[in-house]
Formats: sequence, structure tokens, C-alpha cells
Amino acid sequence: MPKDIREHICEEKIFSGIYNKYAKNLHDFLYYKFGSHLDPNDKMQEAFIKLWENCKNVKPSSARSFLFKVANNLMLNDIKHQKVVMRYKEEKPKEYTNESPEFILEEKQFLKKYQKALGTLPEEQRITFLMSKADKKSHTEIAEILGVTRRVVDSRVYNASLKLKAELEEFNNFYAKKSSKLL
Amino acid sequence: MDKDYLNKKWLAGDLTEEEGKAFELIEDNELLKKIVDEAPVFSVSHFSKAKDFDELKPQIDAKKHLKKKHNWLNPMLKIASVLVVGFAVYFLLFSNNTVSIETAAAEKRLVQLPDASQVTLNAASEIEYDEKTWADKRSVTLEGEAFFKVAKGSNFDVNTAVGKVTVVGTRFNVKNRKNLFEVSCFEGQVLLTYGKEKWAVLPGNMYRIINGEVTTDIVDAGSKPLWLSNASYFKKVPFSEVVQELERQYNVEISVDENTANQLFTGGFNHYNLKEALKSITLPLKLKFVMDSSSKISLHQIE
Repeated sequence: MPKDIREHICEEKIFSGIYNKYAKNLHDFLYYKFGSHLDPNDKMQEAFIKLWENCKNVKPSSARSFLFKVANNLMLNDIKHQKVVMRYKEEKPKEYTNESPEFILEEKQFLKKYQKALGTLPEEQRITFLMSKADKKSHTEIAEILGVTRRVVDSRVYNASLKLKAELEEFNNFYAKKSSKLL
Repeated sequence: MDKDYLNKKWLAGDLTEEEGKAFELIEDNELLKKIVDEAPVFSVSHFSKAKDFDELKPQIDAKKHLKKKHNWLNPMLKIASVLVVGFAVYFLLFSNNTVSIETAAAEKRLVQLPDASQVTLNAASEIEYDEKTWADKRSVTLEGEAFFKVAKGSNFDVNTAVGKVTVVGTRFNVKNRKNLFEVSCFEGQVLLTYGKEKWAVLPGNMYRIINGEVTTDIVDAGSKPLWLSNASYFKKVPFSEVVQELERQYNVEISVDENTANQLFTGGFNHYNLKEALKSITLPLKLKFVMDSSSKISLHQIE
């Protein structure tokens, strides 16, 4: 952790640096935690405005936890245990033109089930899993963003994968068959 | 190798080469791979992106203006409060409401004190008192000569460089000139403190201190000092004192030789006619006076 050269972050240059460093991570975190139906951008920016108002009292080193805590509270004020729904991109990057109609149907059902399963994961596991596998962030990076140890990230991702596997058990045979067929 | 261990390491992305081979050999792991492979479709980047700092900037600038206003206001408020406190302290401590009344030569003045007491100042005299603490402590400082008519009440102090005069309610005269200190009591009772000694001055009595020597005399009790009726009277007083009194009453300068100045003089003069006054002090000592100018007079022996 670099030493705080400045006591506070009221200078715009420093503040914009902090924004560029944390805004995306905070936004992503809010999205994964609370889903899409509440505007994560709004809460993220509101948290930064709060940080600006308190810029005299917040040291650069504590800006991250300040932002995450404030944004989290802002979200919690808005919702009380609403069902979290993860959206997925309908259009897949690769189009399989040679898939059978059966396969395409199965694929659609799989994604729907997957989406539902993500919604039922505990918040912390979902956030960590999606940061790791959807955004391809390294576990060390995630640990830094969330302010936890690398070990915690590893086990959260692993536990999430176990739960997802259990939820999607019914597709096991299908994909096993499919891959063996391909082989 | 343990399957769960390998899975965990694979998820964390730190399988060694050897472990990677082992992982590939695990059966029925297709679902896990599929889950991980498909995860990117849920990436937030497809749906929502964090806004740029530029979009936040206007809001922050708005706050900054507010902040700047405060920054400017705060020091001003500090300065203002310091000034207010300063003034308050100044008025409480330093403006002790001291009233000072002075008379010039050839001037007499009647002064009403905060209670019903009255002071008549003779020429070239000054009294000082604190108006604010008057109710608690009746105390005046006197330089020169004054006649006091003190209303009944608590102790009334007259402080002079020579001694302190304390009374309760009475009429008395205090004269505090260069080498002459006199306290005459006309009514009531006066306590005179001179150094370590104290005397009670009864009506009709007078204490006189000349050059540290204390003598007593009598005055006409029930009346008032002669100077209040525009005349001065002396009894066995060095002639120099008489001359000085005349100087004060007429605002003139009188020169007299030393021998004559030390003679004791009994007599008086009026305050309204200079020539008559000069005659009344020179004739008994066989002197004549010469008016060198309108305000300079010299006295000479008649040969």
C-alpha cells in the first residue's frame, strides 16, 4: 500500500485519479451484487459525490472502502431483498451455424437455468464468481477490489462453481454426451 | 490427484503444467467447463458501463462552488468572532468608567456624585471616581482641594497622595496641596489615615500636615470652608502657601523672596478682586506689590 502523500483528496486531479481507479470496479460490483434493475451507475456516481463532500476527511488509502460502503448502503436503502436477476447476452459471440435445432433449444434452456442459478447464489459468491469468470479478472485483482484475501476469493469461486454445478446437474449428461460425440 | 483440489486450482487459474494434464483427464467435468465458458455472457460490460469522470464533473463543480463559498466565509466568521470577543473583553476590563473632573486655575466647580453626595472643587484641583463600582464602593481620588457633602450610606473614601480620609455621612474639606495637607470637619465625623496613624476628626476640628508635621486647629463647625464664599483664610501657614493659593485663585505668577516666603502668615484674601487680595496679604507683612505684567507680580519689602 503506497503511503499517503496527501492527507486528503480534495484536489480534482487526485480525485479524478481515484475515480478512474475505482469507478468501473465499483460499478461492476454493484451490478453483480444487486442485479440490473437498479441503476448501478447512479449509485456509483452518488457514492463519488459523497466522497467529494467528505474529501477532507478521507485519506486516499481509505477511499476504496469508503466508496464501496457508501454505494452498498445506497443500494440497500433502495431495495429490501429484491430478487436478483442476472441478464445474459442473447447473442453469443460465436454463432454455431451447424448446430442441430435440438442443441440450440438445449442451449437456450441452459442459459435460462444458468441465469436463475446465478440469482440464487449468495451475493459474495456471485460477485466473486462473475468477476473471475465473466470478466476474466485474476483472483489477486479481485481480492484487492473486494478488500479480502486471495484465499477467500479462491474458495468463493470454487463454492459458487459447486452450487452452479448442482443447479445445472440435469444438463450434465447432455454436455457429456455432446463432447464425447465431438471427440 | 484429488479432483476437487484440481478443480479449485483450475478455477483460480494456477494449475501447473502437470496438474493441467491431470485436470484434462478428469471425467464428467464438461459441465464445469461449460459453466465457466458461458459465464462471459453474463458480463456486466454487455449491459452497463461505468460513466466517465466527465459526467460527474459538473456535479462536483457545483459542490465545489458551495465549498469555496464556505471556505471564504469561515475565516471571515473567525475574524468577526475574535473582534466581537475582543470588544467585549475591552469594555469589561479596560473601560472601568472612570470619571475625572478637573478645574483650571481661577475656576471652582460643583460636582454631583452618582449618589446624592456633592463635591465642590477649588481651583486647579482634580477628582477621579469609578462610576460603575460606585454603588459598592464610594471612593474618590483627590488632587488639590475640595469640599465634600457626603450623603448617608456606606463608607466614603477620599484618597490622596498623603493620606486617606474615610467618612460615613458628613461635610468636610480636604486640602491636598504641594506641601500642605488639611482635613477640616464641619459636620459628622471623619477618619484620617496618614501613614500608619489614624485620627478621628470631629466637627470643628482641623488636621494640618505640613512637611510631615501634624498640627491641629479649629474651624467653625456648622459652617463651610471660606473658599466656598470666595475667600481664603489662613492661620499660621507659611507665606509661600498663601501666595500659591492666590496664584491658583487668580491664575497669576507671583515672585517673592525666600525669607518672606517662610514667614508664618495669618489672614486671608478674597477671590474676586486681585488688587484687594494682594493688598490684604502684603500689608500685614509690610510688603508692596508691583504688577510686572497682567499676570506677573512681584512682592518687595517696603524700605
